[in-house]
Amino acid sequence: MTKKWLAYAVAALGLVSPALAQSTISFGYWGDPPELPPFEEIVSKYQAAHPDVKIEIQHAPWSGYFTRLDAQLAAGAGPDVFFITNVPSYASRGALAPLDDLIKASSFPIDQYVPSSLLTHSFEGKLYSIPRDSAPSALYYNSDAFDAAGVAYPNADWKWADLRDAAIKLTTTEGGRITRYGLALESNDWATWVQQNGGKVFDDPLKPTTFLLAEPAAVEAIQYIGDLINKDKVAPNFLEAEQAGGTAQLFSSGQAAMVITNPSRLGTFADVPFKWAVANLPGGPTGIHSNRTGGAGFAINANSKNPEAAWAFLQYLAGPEGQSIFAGAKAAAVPAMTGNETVRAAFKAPFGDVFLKEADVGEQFPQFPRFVDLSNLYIQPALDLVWNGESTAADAIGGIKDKVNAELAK
Amino acid sequence: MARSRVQLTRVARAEERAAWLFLAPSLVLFAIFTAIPVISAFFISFTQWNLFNEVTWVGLGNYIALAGDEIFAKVLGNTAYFVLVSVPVQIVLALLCALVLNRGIKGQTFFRVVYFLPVVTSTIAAALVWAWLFNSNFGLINAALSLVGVTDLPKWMGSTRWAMPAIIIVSIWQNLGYAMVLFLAGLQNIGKDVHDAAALDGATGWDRFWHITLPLLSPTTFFVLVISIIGSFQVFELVLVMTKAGPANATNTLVYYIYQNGFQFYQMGYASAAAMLLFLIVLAFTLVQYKLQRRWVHYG
Repeated sequence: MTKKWLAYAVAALGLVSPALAQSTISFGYWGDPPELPPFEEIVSKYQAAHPDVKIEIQHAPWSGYFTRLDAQLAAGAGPDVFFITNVPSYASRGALAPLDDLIKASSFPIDQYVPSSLLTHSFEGKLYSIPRDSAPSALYYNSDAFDAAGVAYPNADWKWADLRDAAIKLTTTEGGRITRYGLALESNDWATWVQQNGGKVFDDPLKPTTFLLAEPAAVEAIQYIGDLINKDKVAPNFLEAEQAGGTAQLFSSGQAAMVITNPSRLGTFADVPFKWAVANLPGGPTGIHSNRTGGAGFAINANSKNPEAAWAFLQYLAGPEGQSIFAGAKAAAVPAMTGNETVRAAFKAPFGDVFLKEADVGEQFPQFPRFVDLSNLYIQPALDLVWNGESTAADAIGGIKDKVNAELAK
Repeated sequence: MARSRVQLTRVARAEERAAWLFLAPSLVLFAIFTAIPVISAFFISFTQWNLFNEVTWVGLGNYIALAGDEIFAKVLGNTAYFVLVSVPVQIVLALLCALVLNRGIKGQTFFRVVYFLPVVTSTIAAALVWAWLFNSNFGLINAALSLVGVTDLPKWMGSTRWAMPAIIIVSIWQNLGYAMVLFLAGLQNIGKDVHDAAALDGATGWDRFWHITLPLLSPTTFFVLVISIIGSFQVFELVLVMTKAGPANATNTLVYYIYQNGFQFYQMGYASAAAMLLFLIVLAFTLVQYKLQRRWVHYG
């Protein structure tokens, strides 16, 4: 009996002792099952190359990721390296480690990243996260629906009027109720339309002093979307699109003939029972092409107990090796490291050239610590009234202009 | 002092220990998940805290800011609307169902189960399905309305006017069964002899309902009223799943606003202050009801 226990104890020690020599870092990320393989590949390749490092995975779906991360960070804990968006909000709370000195010390090729992406991942001039991807939107269209309706496919010369025209022709109704919308839009993309019309949301997306959404160019863009929903009735109200399972669901089920959404949908739509393709976004009335610079990146926890190991892993994860794995994955991310030939070559996603072209016209969306409150309390409620047709863009946005400006002045 | 205490026998002391032992799990959980958070929230409500910064004491600052917050005023109005409509409708409907199902009609067990099922259904799942039903274009509700000739179909959760009624309908659907079961239990406690005696004296069914059933049921009604009001002040999941407080804050309610401030804007102090106000409002309502109950609640 005693001998047996001794044997167990020795075996347990044998298992534990190599682990004692390792440094362990934790890595948090979100993703649906189709998005996970590149993360897992990176972790296992890195561990194989660095036997002394053990990476502990903390995965959560998008819906629960930030709730958990916020709670962990508030308690001074959380993963050493984590996937992140909305960097200013976290950086302003001191949750992220600044990266500039580390980058300089190890000559990390930061100049190979899209400049507007770097801006997205900075706060007050300091970089806090290395961008993984820029998630520009593009126009996905159901080719079968276009053929059946006798409408020409979208092309690079399309402007807003062409989009609206096609959406009207592609919308089908039955007994007064819509059976297929011509177009579905993402609720958080509206600023793209403002930019395409030559307008702006704020004078500066990162350090705003004036709210410009009430200016004519911006109001016109918002009204254009509102009219697609309520006047032409060719696009669903955003709230209703979400309740119907989201724009991707509408497109997959044939209930929307076109959808403007992000590159991750390439994977979602892989098995739909009709032919589809992806085109560039239409230009604004005067031909301005614009898109959002979105995307996520990787940051180091300001409270990491092992910052050196975290930085070493981050260089692999967000550098050429990790970027190439993400760019080459089935659910591909449009790489943010477009200045690197290996990464560019690894990006072989279908319609990859369409997305890269959109990434080139990407602009920084408003992103500053208080934007979440201003958006939730003022901008979003005002836009709701345009989306549901209860107010014109001019009235709704005019009504909040002074309040938002007063908040900015605080 | 120890001498003045009643000397417990050995058995009694053992029993006391056993009692504490049995109480311990629930007391520990209550302390960790209720008492300590409530007390902390009280103190946090006087501070400015975003989870990360140093906590700074702002005195009554959060409460003063709440008083001048026009969205908070709207939120209070929305919450009042929800409570004032959903509670009375729910109580009347639950009582009606209980009365019908207490008369020994055919299949009453089946109907009791049917009415009670929503209570044990996950709120999130139910709300998702209801959101589909309410979809103004693809939804079944508007399909049914258009079949009966309604042309100006409501946009339900998309419209500032119909979003709150939609949530109220789902809330009533979900909570009806619980109130109904309580009423059924109350009804079965009313002795048949009282009704028989009244019938002999010539009281009609209507008379007996007003003068016998309702007064004798009043303790149940009181209980249902108190818990319904407390419950409806806390409406949250339905709002989160169905409308996310939209459109234009038309369905933003107290608990949702607390959640927004706490976990979207990271203003823990402000959120805690709003939570304290919610506590005071519910407390005030409950106290008033206990005061008023003497006038209408009869404990047989």
